[in-house]
Amino acid sequence: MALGVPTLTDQRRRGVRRTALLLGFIAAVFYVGFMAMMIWRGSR
Amino acid sequence: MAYDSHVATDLDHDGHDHKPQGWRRWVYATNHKDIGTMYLVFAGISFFIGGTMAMLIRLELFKPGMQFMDPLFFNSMTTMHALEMIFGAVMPAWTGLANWMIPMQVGAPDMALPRLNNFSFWILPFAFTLLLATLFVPGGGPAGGWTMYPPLMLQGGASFPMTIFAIHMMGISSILGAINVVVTIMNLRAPGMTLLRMPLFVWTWLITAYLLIAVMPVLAGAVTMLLTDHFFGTTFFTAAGGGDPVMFQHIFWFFGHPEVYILILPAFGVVSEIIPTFSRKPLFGYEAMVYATASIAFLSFIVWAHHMFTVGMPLAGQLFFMLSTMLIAIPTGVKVFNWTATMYKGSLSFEPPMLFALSFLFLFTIGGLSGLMLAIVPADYQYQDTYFVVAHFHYVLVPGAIFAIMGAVYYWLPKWTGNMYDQTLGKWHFWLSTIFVNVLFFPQHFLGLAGMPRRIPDYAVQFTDWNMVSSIGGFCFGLSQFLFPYIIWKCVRGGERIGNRAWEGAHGLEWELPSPPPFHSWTEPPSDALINRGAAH
Repeated sequence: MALGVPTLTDQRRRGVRRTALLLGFIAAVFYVGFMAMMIWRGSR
Repeated sequence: MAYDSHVATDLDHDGHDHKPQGWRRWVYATNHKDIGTMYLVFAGISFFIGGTMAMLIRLELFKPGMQFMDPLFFNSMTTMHALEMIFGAVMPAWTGLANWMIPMQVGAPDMALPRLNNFSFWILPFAFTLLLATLFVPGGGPAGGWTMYPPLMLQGGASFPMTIFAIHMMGISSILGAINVVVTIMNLRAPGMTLLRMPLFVWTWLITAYLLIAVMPVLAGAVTMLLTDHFFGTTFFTAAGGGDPVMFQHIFWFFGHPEVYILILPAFGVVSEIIPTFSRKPLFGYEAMVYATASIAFLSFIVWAHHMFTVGMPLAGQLFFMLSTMLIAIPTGVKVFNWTATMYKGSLSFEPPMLFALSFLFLFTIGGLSGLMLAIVPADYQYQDTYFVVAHFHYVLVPGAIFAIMGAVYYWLPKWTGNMYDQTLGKWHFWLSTIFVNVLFFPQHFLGLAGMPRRIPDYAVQFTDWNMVSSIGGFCFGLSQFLFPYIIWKCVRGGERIGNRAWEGAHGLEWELPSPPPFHSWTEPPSDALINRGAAH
């Protein structure tokens, strides 16, 4: 934990985690999915 | 109460200012201001590296014939200049400004994901070191243009995989930075800071962040397919194996056009902050500005093929992309007229941020109008790949995005440092930049209309005069940019102390904090009264 950082309430912390995971999941699906789709399409 | 007032350590009794010292402060940085500063410094360094490449390009084009460099090096200069400026200067500068300003503007203590923030930044120096290192490998740097079209790009030497890996790293950095921005805005706004009370800079960045998450993976996919074509025997873009090089252009521009708006939407946000402040009036049509930004972002996904009219496409396709492109003029016009209406009957004053915002308003509009000309299919057949296109996108990106970044720095620098900068020098910087950016780029319209192709190191003699004018403008513009870091350095060292509100007409939560602001911005959420005062759109 960085020095002197104010902490968030549990409710906010859950919200941050939920939004970050959702966006991370979407970005990962886009990132890997797009390449996988193209390679699958290109190898047929 | 959104935040607990207690802290994780017992060191907060004197204002949370126990920051790490020395190199650890920067390498291990998790503070949004420190990371924002690093992004801005990085962007400044990239601006001067990319600018040096631009000077070399203008030097070679000063007169016809080959003067100083071989054609391959010239082509790698145009390629690297674009990559440096887009991914190294403009995008990191916006991310730096987002890091500095978004937590302060929404009433949050910091960015939502500080360690991810550190990681996002520290990817960049490695990515650009790798990219610049390509200049020293056998075969030289990438020379196929920043658009990396196959089959030319596939003929690259050792620089090819290095460039692709560097682009992957830049893309990952941008996606992680964008996630951080969205999470901060969606989850860490102070109670009472509703979406439609947010400052326009925050709104435009929120929409930009969604664009980044949507299109950076597309770029990653496109360059990975190039990589597999080169090294693993696939033929995505090789006609001999059943592939199609034009498919690359479709995929690339599906990323590339939203990318243009990634570069310019935060500029719209900054101008929407500056003009009301120096007009001493609320922004005209706040909600219309938000909806116009969202409309531009949506339209940016359905216009990509206007970059490739001449590859040959069905008439219906040409018409669709021509008309959808022209539609963008509507929300953009809403913005331009709203900024103008904000100034109407305002009590105007012309400090450096306002000067840069006004220059943006006029010159970005010139770039927008030449964009409309390029959207007309039969006209585009004539303009495609000429200097007219070069003039168009430089008007959008230099007096557009870069002037807005400079305006933003001049606007918020007193807040960051607590000192007022030398405004006379700032005005000198403005006038020299505005005059010479036009000397540099306006003649390129004439060259393009007369038929001078882009990306060539030599040209027919009839193009000599305007190329000389353009090069002189370029050298003077380049030299005048040294004023910018000097003004910032002088301001950081000292200057007239300012209070919380650096500018008389400024509104917004950032102006309620001390100047310079504390290490953690809003350890206690701002009151409703403060939010109401700030949200006087």
